[in-house]
Amino acid sequence: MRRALRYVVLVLALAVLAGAAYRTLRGGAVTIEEWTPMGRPPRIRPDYTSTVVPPNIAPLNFCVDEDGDRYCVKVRSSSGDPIEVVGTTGQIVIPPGRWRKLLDANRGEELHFDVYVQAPDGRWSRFDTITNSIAAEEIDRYMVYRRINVMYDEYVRMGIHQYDLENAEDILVLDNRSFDGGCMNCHTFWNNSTEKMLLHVRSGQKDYGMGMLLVQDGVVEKVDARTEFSPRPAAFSSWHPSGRVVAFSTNKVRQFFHHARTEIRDGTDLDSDMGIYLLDSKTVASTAAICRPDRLETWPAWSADGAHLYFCSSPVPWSDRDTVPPEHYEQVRYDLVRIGYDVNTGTWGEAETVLSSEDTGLSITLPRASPDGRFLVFCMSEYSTFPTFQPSSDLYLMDLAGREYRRMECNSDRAESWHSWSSNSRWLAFSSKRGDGLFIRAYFSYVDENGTAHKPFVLPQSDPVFYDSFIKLYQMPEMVRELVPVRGEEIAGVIRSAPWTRSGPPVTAPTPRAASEPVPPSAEGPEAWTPHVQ
Amino acid sequence: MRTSAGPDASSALPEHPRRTPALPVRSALFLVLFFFYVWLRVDPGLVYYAHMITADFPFFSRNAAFLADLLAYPGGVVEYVSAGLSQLYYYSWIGALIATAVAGLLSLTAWLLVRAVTGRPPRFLHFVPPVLVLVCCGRYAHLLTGCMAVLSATAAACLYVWLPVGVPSLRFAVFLVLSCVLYYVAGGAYLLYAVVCALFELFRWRRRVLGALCILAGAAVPYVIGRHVLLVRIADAYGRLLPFRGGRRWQTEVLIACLYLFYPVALLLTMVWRTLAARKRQARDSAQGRVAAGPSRGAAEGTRRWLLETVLVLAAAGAVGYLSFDGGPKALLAIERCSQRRMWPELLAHARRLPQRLYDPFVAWDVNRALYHTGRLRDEMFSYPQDGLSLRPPDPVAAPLDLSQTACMEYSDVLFDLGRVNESERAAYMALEYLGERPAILQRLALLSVARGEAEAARILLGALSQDLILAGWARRYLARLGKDPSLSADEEIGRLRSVMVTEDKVGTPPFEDLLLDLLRSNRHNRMAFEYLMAHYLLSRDLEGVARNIGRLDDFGHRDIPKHYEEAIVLHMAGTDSEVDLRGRSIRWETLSRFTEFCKMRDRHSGDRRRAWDALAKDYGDTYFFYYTFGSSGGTE
Repeated sequence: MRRALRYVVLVLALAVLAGAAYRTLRGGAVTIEEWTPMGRPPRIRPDYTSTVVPPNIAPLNFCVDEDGDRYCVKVRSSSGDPIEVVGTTGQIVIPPGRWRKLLDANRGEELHFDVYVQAPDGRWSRFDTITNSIAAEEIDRYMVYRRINVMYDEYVRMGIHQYDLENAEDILVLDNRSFDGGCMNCHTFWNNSTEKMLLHVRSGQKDYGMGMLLVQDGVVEKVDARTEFSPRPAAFSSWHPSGRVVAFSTNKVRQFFHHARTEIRDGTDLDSDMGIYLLDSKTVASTAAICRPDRLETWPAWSADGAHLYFCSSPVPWSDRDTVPPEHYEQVRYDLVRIGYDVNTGTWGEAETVLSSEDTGLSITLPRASPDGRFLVFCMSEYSTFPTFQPSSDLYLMDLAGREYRRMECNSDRAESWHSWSSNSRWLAFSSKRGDGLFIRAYFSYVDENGTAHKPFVLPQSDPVFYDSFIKLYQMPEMVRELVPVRGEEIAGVIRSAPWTRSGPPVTAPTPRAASEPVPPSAEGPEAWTPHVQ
Repeated sequence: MRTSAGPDASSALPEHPRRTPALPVRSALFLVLFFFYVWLRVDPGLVYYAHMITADFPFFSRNAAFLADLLAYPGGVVEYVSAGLSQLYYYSWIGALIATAVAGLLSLTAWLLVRAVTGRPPRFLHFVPPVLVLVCCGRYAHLLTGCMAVLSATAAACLYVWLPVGVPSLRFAVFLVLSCVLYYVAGGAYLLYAVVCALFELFRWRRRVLGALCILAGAAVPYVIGRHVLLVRIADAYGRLLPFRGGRRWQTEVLIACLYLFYPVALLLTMVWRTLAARKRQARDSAQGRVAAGPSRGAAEGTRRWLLETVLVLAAAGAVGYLSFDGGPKALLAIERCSQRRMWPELLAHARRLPQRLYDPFVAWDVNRALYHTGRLRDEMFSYPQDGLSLRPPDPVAAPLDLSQTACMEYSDVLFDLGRVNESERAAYMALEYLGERPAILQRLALLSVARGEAEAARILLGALSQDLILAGWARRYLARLGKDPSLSADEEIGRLRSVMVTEDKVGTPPFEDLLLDLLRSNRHNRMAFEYLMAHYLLSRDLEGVARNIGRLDDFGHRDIPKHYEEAIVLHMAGTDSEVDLRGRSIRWETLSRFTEFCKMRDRHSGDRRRAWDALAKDYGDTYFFYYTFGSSGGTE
């Protein structure tokens, strides 16, 4: 028995030694004394070139798309030990600890990747150095997003996930299987913090109702913000900087499909209005200017100081609010509007058009003010309220001081949409289909003090070829500083069992609807399609 | 070391079975026959093709995310392994081998458990689990995951009962360790392990405390690990992988429930039987005052008896297999396999043999596709059962949810062949949502992306497909081709699709007729669009539509008028008393004559629809005259 054990130990030791020797010979450190300069940069994927990265980002692992037998990448900056990664495949996985040290020691400096490839005849080639920059400012550590399939009308599986940008670790917050295949969307955070957050949910196979999940200090509460005047559940929402008020839109969203366009899906709000939820009194309030029957109002977003509520507003080009697709759907263009609000007195100001679609010729959607109050980023596309379905959708930045706006530098020729600011206003996360036109990925762009957006980089992954086979979408990236304090059953249990908190009657009633367009309380049943903005 | 509650360590062990070579031989013989029966009669490869029409068949990916997703739940390991093994059913003989191996191992664990609990080896009881597996196979209920879960639980129970440790505290510690591992591996099947272990302790060694602890732990482990470590809901913590949790048909659930219940019930019954038999023997012995030695059996008698028992076991298993075999699913799955592999003549041959009661809309859709692809739709469509809904599946967006879930890939198939790439892609993505990342769906989506000029998206879909066990090679070859030519301009199928795609963009979900007319507007030579348009008019009894479009035959070089179109034109002319411009073609004399005969017979039974049907079905059931009159064709054998 002992002899057998000895043999086993010996074989194991030999195996370990052989592995180490192989690694040393084939993949370990390598001295490259001679090389042929290639005179061009290497082809790598994802595209981590000429970009600005945060000093606390996870390693930008990538794959070298060049033929060769061995690969060597040296990662270096102004100070600190360079990192050398050697391998027999082009998949470059950078050691996280050394990467972190290197970036931390070189804030504001350049970051270089020297790529060498060895041909079968043993000769090395060196490609032009890839140069990126390390920003001085950190990015918020987490990104919360919704993971979902490319979706047409029906959904089965989806999940709210949280991605640790420093460690490239994906953490599941809530899987919809835990409440029988319900829907969840529009996760919204207060000032990039998870202390207060909202998540909208709707029942799946079992009827658990629909409404907002309000999470405050780790306590989950179900809030039904529907009222007699606003029978649809809240959809897109925005936290007031004070944390006392949430502005929300109620949308009658419908999807329809193109027969020959490359982007098959399209969507529209047949009807939409806005309101606010007052957390202290648990009541809903509104004002005529944000729920006009002759206009569609949506995409609420508070200004950084909370004095104004930005939103998008369009005349209704159709008379029938049930037919899908509605007539003249391609003519719906939203203006950027704002209205004053005093959170202490609950009084509304006058609505004013900040930027008119007539002037831009494009539909303005998804405004988001930077936390420092300087900029407002929004989407513009040929038409529609859902930029993700519009290949023409781009991000625009407005300097709120002078109201000048311009197309951001980080756009592509494909749809850019859902964006969110980091708490220090230096990083913008956004959804983009730039890679392939179909699968939404999360990108990050450094926005400097002048509002210039630098070349974005895709969410880094531990596996360099992760995106080669991942067919789910990274929807609605929202940057937060901390972990979501509750997850899994802590949320699902509340969805399944806790009673809904009914919001009180509206403090200020919206303009009554025209007699010809009543909205019955049951107009939006659980089967209705709610926003799946991608 | 002795304990007050039980026997010492050595006596705590079950007796090791004496070598009884006849038993392994019988089992081996059984399993060999089992294998050939499953391979040749059941053809488990058919089950692989069920994956497009039912969510029961698991899908699999080598992707780390797929594994991580499953490992987040108790029982994820068994689900992962079963999903991987299920893909190998693509090769029928490997499927049979897997089923045989699982059946054999279930039989072995039954044998070991009965032997351990009762102290004597079973002679026939251990054949029950493989017979249950045989019934599952014969009914095309793919229950590999359930069987693997039971196997994991019973294997762990075997480990426990054969454990050479007699100290109760130590035994309980081992029980707990095995519990944690098993619960994570097999989910709710862990409860079976806990029950079997408790029965063993309670009935074999009368360790009431230990038995009760096993039961308590059985209740506590899922709660602690499932609810508080894995953070799953209570229903999942206890119920995952247990019967009646998968949303399958109840017959299927009953089968797997029988497998679960077999072990505790068999152990209990055997214990009771043995106890009663021992008492009876004791009473008889004490009445006779001595132990009567039975007459010793000779070797020849033993062999005869063994042979007789073996024949009985095999005959009984064979009878159960024969009686429980369900040919219906086999026939339907054979058609599904032909459809997915585009084996059109074979599909029609299977459909010909299909009993009418099994002829559902899914078969009808496949048959009409097969008829088109074999060039027989125009002339033989009504030789097969047809009604107003049999041409193609409903648009999944407009269909009821249950039909939408099952039929969206069928819809995608038809639209793919027609050239409606956007609608085909939409339906395929819906199928992906309902059924998961199944290889055939990914393959379809990749082809559509290439045809639509979205090579980058196609690469990602092919990347996902390369994580499959069966189509990985195809995906890698296709990726290599895409690398060389991103447009795949030389690819025949892609070229065909591009030539027939609609060019004018519209929105919404138009009626099927408009979809086809748009295709013909984009390419008037789209033969499938034309034939489906005419078939649509025929099935909806729109004679005007047929007459209006008969001139399109010029686009396809037809000199004659196909049989069913001709019949429709005759009906139209008879009904409207007007001429149709046949562009120089004429109605054949035989068709006119047949119509006259048909009308005569029909008029003879004008007051009695049933009798008219019976009288006309034999000779005219395969004509459009018949369909037009009765609203369905009578042309099946």
